[in-house]
Amino acid sequence: MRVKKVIRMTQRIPKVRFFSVFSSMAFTLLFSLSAWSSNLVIEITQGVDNPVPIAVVPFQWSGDRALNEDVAQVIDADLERSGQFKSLKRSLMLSFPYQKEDVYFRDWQYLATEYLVIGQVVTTDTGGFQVDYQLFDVQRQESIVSGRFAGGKNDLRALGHSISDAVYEALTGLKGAFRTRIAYVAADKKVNPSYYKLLVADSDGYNAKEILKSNQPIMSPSWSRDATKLAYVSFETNRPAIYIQDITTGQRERIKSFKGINGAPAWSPDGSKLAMVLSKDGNAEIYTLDLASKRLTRVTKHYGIDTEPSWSVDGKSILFTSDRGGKPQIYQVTLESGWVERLTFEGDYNARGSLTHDGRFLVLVSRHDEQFHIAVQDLQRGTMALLTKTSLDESPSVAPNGSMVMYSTQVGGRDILAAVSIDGKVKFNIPANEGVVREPAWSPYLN
Amino acid sequence: MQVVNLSKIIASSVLVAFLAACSSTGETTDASASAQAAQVAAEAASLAQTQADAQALKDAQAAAAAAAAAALIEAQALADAEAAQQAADNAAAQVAAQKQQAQKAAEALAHVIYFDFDQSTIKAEFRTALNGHAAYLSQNPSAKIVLEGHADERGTREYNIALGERRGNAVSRYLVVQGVSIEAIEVVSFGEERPVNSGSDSASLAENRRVEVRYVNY
Repeated sequence: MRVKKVIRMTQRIPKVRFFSVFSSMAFTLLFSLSAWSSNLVIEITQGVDNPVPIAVVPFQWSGDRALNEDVAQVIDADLERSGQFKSLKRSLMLSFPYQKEDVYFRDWQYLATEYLVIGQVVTTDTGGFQVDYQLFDVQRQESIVSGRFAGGKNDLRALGHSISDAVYEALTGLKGAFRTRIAYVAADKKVNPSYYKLLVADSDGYNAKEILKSNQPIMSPSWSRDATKLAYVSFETNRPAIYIQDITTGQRERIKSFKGINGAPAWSPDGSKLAMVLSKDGNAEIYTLDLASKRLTRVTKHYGIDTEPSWSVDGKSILFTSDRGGKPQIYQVTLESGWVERLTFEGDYNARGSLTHDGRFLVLVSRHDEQFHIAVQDLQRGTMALLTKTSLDESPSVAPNGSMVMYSTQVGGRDILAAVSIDGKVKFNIPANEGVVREPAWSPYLN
Repeated sequence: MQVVNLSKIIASSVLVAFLAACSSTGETTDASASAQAAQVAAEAASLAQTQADAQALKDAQAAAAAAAAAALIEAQALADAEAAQQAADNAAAQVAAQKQQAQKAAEALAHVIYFDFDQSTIKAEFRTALNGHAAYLSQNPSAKIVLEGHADERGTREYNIALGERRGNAVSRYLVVQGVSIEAIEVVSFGEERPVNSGSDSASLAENRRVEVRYVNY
C-alpha cells in the first residue's frame, strides 16, 4: 500500500540540489571532520517528482560529551539520497520529541510531514552505543516500526544506516541498501607521475579507507559475497595480475597469473568461484577458477574478444561482452551446456552487463550517437532504456536491492562517481575532493 | 751442441798423443824418438786445444747469433701479436660501433603505432618503422621488446584491455611475419588505464589509441 504511495508520483517539482550533508546543519552536536570522514561529497541532482515528506528528529543523547556523529543527520541524508523522500529542516521543527508520549501529531501534520522518525542514543556496558528508533505515520498517528541497534564506539554512522534501511523497507517494501559499502579506484588527474589507489567507503562516501596504493594501474574491484574481500587487477609488476585482499586485515593473495590478460574478476553467487578473463590461450576468453581446488575451467572459445563476465542470479550462467558478432554486445553462456545466447540487439556498442538481484533487469553501458550511457534492459519486456545523459559513463554497479546503479562519469573533464535509480528518476553525483574517482563496485549486504 | 763438439775435439787430440806415446814406447826403444813422439803429441794436443778453442768461439758466436736471431724472431712474433690484438680490437670496436649504430637506428625508428577507434589494423604509414624494428630484432637475437597496447577512454575498461591486447598482437604478428622470433616479443595491454594525453578531444583520443614498442634489451 505504502509502496504505491511512494511510487505513484505525478506532479513535477524543481530539482532538489543538496550540496552537502552539512549544509543545513542547525544543530549543536560536534562532528568529526578528520581525514577519515568524507572525501566524497554527495550532490543530489535529480529526485522523484513528488518526494514523500518525512521528519527525522535529532536523536536524544544525554551523555556528557557531544557525539562524533549525528545519527538523525545520517538517516536524513540516506533518505534524501534515495530521491524518494524530502526531509524536514530542523529549523522548522516545533519540538524535538524522542519518545512517543512527547509527540504532538498535530504539529507534524501542520508541517505537512507524512512520516516521523524519533529515537535516542545510549552507551552500552562495553563502551559502544545502542540506538532506539520509532517510525510514525503522522496522519494515522500510529507507530509503523520501531527497533534497536547496537554497535561499537565507532559504529554510530553504521547504526544510523541500519535505521535508514529499516525505515526505507517499512515505507517502500524494498530492503534498504544504505548500510553497504562501495569500493572504487582513485587516480591522479596528471598522467605522469601518477598514483592509483583502491579505496573502500560507506555507501554515502564516508569513512573512505585506502586498501592499496600503487604507481601502476589498479582496475576492476569485485566484492566477495560476504563483503569481506575484494578481488581486483593490479599492474604493480608491470603486468596485470588478479589479487584477492581481505579488507579488514589487509592480507592479500595473488591468483596464479598467466601470460597476457589477467582481468575482470567476478565472484560467483555462492562465493566458491571467481570468473575471470585470461588470454593465455591466444585471446581474451572467460574462465572460472574454483577457489578451493584452484581448478581453472575455460568457459568461452572464440577468436573474438570475450570479456567482462558477470554471474546470473542462480550462478548457472555467465553474462559477458563479446565482439564475436562484429561489435561488442552482451551474451549469456550456460555453464553446463556451453550454450551461448545474445542478449542485446539495440545499438552497436553494448558492454559490461550485470543483472539486478531479481534477475529482471540487465544494467549495461550502451553507445548511442557516439556517447556512452548507462542503460537498462528489461529482460521480461525486452525494452532498453537509457538512464543517463552524460557522454562517458561506464562501470555500472547495481545496489544489492536493485534500487540504484552507481557508475563513473566525466564532469568538467574529471572522472567522478554518480548514481541513478533503476527507473532513471533519481540521480546524484559523488565527486571526490581531489583527483579522479572511478570504477565503483557496490558491495553486497553487510553481515 | 758446441760443448759436445769441443769435447770430441779434445778427446781426439788426447787419443792422438796417447797413440804416439804408445807407439814410441812399444815399437821403439829409442828415448829420443820417444821424446819426439811426446813432443808431437803435445804439439798436436796444443793445436787441438787451439782448434777447439777457435771452434768453441765460433760456436759461441754462432750460438749468440742464433740467440739473437731467435730473440729477433720472438720480438717479431710479439710485435705481430700486438698488431693482431690491435686489429681484433679495432674489429670489435667496429662491430660495437655498428651495433650501436644499428641500436641508434632502431631507437630512431617510430616507437608508437597508432590505431583507429575499435580497430587493430596496422596502417601503411607505420610499416617502415615496423620493418626497421623487425630487421634489428632478427639481426640481434638477444634483443627483446614489450609491445604495450593502449586504448582511448571511450568504451568499457575491460573491453579496452582486450582491445589493447588485440592491437599489441597485431603488431606482434606483423613482426613475426617479418622474421622476428616470437620469443623476442611480449604483449602487455594497459587498456585505457595509461593515457599519454588526458584530453577528451579527438586528437587526444587518437594519441591514446596506440601500441608502444619498448625495448627491454637491445
